[in-house]
Parts: sequence; structure tokens; C-alpha cells
Amino acid sequence: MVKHYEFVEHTADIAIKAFGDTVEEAFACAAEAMFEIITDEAKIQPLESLTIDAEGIDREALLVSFLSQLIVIHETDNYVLKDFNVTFTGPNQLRASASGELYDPNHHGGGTPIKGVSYHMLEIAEADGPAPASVQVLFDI
Amino acid sequence: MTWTGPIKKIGEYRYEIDPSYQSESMKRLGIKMQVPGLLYADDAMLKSITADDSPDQVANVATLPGIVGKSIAMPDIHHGYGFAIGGVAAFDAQNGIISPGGVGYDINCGVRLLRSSLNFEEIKPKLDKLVDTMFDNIPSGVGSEGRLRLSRSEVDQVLEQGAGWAIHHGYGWDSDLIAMEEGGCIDGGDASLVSDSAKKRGGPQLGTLGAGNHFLEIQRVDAIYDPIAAAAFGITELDQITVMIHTGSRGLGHQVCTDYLELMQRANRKYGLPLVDRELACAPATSQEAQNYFSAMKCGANFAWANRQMIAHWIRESFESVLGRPSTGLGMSLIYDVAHNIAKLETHVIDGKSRLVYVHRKGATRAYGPGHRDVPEAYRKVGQPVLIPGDMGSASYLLVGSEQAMGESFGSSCHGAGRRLSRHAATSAYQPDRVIKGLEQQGIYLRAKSRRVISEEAPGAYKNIDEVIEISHNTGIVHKVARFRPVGVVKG
Repeated sequence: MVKHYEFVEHTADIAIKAFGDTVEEAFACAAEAMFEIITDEAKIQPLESLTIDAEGIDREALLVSFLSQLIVIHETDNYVLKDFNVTFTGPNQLRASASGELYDPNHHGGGTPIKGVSYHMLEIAEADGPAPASVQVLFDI
Repeated sequence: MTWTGPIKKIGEYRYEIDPSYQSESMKRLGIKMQVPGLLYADDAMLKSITADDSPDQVANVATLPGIVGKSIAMPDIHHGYGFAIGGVAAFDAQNGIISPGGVGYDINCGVRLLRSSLNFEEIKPKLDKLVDTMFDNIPSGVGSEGRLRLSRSEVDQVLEQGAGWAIHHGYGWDSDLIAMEEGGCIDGGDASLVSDSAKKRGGPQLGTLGAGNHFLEIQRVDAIYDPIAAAAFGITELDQITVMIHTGSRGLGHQVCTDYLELMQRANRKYGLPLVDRELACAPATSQEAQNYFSAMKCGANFAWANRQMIAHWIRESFESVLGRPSTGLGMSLIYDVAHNIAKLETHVIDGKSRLVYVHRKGATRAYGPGHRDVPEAYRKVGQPVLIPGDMGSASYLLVGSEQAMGESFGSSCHGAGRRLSRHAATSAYQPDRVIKGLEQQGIYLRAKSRRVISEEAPGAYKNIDEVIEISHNTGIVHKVARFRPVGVVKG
């Protein structure tokens, strides 16, 4: 299991690179990184479970659509989420599960709101020999 | 990424990327620049501009179908997504395209400036109280919700009526509408083209400041460059107090952009438009996809005008309660309100012919010259006010549009200074208490929701606004009118 992520330096916004044994895991990890930007992931209690379905015209659009949906869930239903599990259900479709709780500004506050998920710098790489699968994505903040 | 392509000086403060330039990605797709790129800069500024790949983005925009005139970069240009920030591009209304990327996520992020008949000495003893009251009256920061609970149909009305909706509901003066770009509402916004997600995301945020670079500032006039234009805008003396608002369409605009970027990815495939960058996703201007986006974007813009209108109303209320006088008696009328991120259907004279074009301004300000019928009557002799915000330790500027801008930049100018440091670097470099202390020493009182924002928005994290203004002024596309120093700041 090589699931982890790192922040990529960018002057105006925040970019991340997420890794996994598979692209599915890297997608899940990118979602976790996103909530680390929005709040402190360690403060999220896994009290409720959610399922998210997403699709796009290709793999890149699928990632953007998935992460964009999570912003909507965060900003409209007020959830902060962690423990993502992603399964590709079609060529450019996925189903994800996650757990989390309602956002409490006193407990989860101090993070950075995300305006949108950009195609800029977006890269998706399958695992290749010793190199893990990875996705790189930039958030407009 | 440093730009190594060709740029030649074509005049004072003007550089051009020749349309014969073809980047590797253009070659791969077999596409070419349709028009030249034009960069406004001086030699020193050009060095910083070419330190990132924004000139490449200017060249990329020049490949889009139906682009007219030039792909333009203002002196504050910096690297964006697809379209550079600080860019202006106009596309033929029949044969051109419309692109959500040419507007950006924060649709109608913009600036509003209120004047007053107060001077600095009068408010000095109550400055802290004024800032505290504004901070309490206007919700700000991450996850903040507005003071209103709007039904879905009320949100739809806001989207279609803009600032007029707010005024009709008691938030402001009828006379405010005259002093706004588009009168605070672009006609033709159809709320049914805005997704439920966008309405659900943005609806509760009406009347909120947000976080990041958005702010409220009490300012004092510290320089008047053009007394005639300044007087037309109601700026008559040094130390006169003004209030500036910098915010946009909040989650509503962000979601409209997200939704339509996705739709444009599909449209792009359908219409077979080759793109050097996916963020340039667009559709033919006359297509249903483009027109639907344009209408939804108008809704986002209208939402932003209503947002700034309500905030302005609560600022007036704050002054009234602290100073114990009605805001009408305080002379707190609106100087102007401009959009920095927007696409507009405008008529411009290009090569001697009048043409209808979709002007995309992404991090650029409309700067119409004297005599234009879209400039409020009271200002028509001098031209349209242009509002450029600086960081919380520097200055903001009031400028005026010119004839030159009408002929050269589709009546557009710059919008501000970009970031010099990443948020992460700024957080490491500037400890919040030191930022507060430093501002205090300059006589600036700051209230912020988040300590992190104080570091991220520290004055040192931004480029020098004065240089951007000097170059813009020297190009002749805008003229300096007055400069303002912050004395009280509210941040998210």
C-alpha cells in the first residue's frame, strides 16, 4: 500500500500529487488531500457514510467531476469527508464511498475553501513497475 | 516555466508576439495563432512576465476560432489556467467562440467604491469601532452563510435581477444602480440554466465576503492626480474617506463555471475544435452550449452585483450606527462598481468597422473612454471609473478609461497586482501577529476571521501595485485619478 499525497508548490493556488497502488487508490487519495486543504483531515470523525457516483468524457474529466462533486457535497450538505474508497464501474465512471461528519466551523475551521478543480497540470499515471499510480491536480482557491 | 518564444517591442510599453509563432503543442495539433499577442509592459515588467508561461497562454488564446484584434495581456498578467490572468480577448459574435475559462471561477469578482463626505480626522477616534462593526455586520470567512434565508424562487430573482433585486428589497439607494457597470444587472440571465447545485451552493452565501484576497477597506485619499476627473467622481480632497469592497459571486459563480467547463468538454468534442489546452474549452458563439453558458454566466454576474450591493448597505448601516448619523448625510454614495472577471457582448470598432464581439476579461477591467453611452451620464465627459485594489498594506487606485483603450484594448485595462509568493511560502514567511503589528505601525487596523489568511494575504506576498499602475497609465489606456491608503481592513 503506497497510498499517500504531497503538495506541489504553486504561486496562486494549491496543487497536489496523490499516489496509490492503482489509479483508483490515487483518486481516493486525491479526495483525501482535498479535505486536508479544506480542513485538518485528522479532525474528521467517520460518523456517517456516503456514496458518490461520477462520470466524465474521459479519465481526466472523471477525476475533475468526482472532486467537483465533493466540493458541492461539502458546501451544500456541509460534510467533511475522509476514508475514500474508489471503484471504477465503467471506462469513465466511478463509485466512491467515504465517511465523515457535518462541518463544524469551531472544530474544523481555519482551512482554505476551494473554488474549483482545474484541468491545469492534471496528470493521471498508471502504476509502472516500481512507480506507483499517481494523479496530479490543481485546485483553484 | 520561462517563456523563450519571440517577443518584439512595437512601441512605448507595447510588446508583440508575432502570429507566426507556433509552440510545440500548436505544431502537434497543426493549429496557428490567428492574431498577434499584445503585451503592455516596460522592460523590467516584461522580465517578470516572461518568468512564467503567461505569454504562451496569450499565444494559445490567439489560436481560438474567431478571435479579433489581438490577444491582449495587461501589465499585471500572470499565469492562469488556459487563459492567463490579466488577459483580454474578443471573439466575433457570429464566427467566434465563448469560453468559461476566459472568465474563470469567480464570475464577476469585482470592486465597488463608496465615497463619503467624512475626512480621516473625523473618524480616527472611532476607526476601530467602525471596522469591528463592519466585521460583525458582514459575514466573512470559510463556510460563512449570509444573514438571509432565501427561497429557491428568490434566489432565481437575484440571478435575473442583480443589484436591482437587493435595492428593491431595501438594501441600498435607487441612485446606486446608475453607478455600476451594466447598472448592476446584465439582461438575459436565465436562472433555469443555473444548476440546482450552484443555487444550493451559492444561495446561502448571498451577502457574504468570503475569504482569500477578498476584503472590505476603509481608506483615505492620499493622492489626487487628476482633479477634474476626481471631482466628477466626488473625490475632492486629501484624507477624504472612501470604502472599498472586493468580492464576487461566491460559490454560485464557482459552480456555474464548474458545470459549464464540464459541458464545454463535451461541446468541444462535438464541434471538433482543436485545443492546445483543455482549460480553453469553448463552443461556437452561436451554439446552444455557448449561449446557455453566457446566460448562466450573466446570472453569476448578477448574483455578484447583488452581493456587493448588500454588503455596501451593511457598510452604510455600520457607519450610521457608529457615527450616529444617517448615511445619506455622510455622503456615502457609490462612485462605481466594476467586474474583473466577465464576458460581455459589446460593440467595438475594429479596423474601421463596427463589430459585435464577445469580450472576455479575465482579471481585467472595462475602461470605457469619455463619451461612451454606457458610461454614467455624470461621468460621461471624463470616462468610466476604473477601480484597482492593492494588498492590505499598500494602496488602491481610481483611474479612468480612455479613447486609447477603446481603439486598442476593447476598452479594457489592468485589475491589480498578482501574488509574489505562494500561500504556503507566505504562511512560513509572515507570522500573523507580526503582520498585524506591521500594519498597526502604518496606522492600519485589521480584523480577520482566520489567522492563516492574515499570513497568506500579508502585503509582502503581493507584487508591487504601483508599478502595474504606472505602466497602465503610461500606455494611455487608463489615466490615474486618485490613490487611496487603507486605514481599516476586514478580511475573511
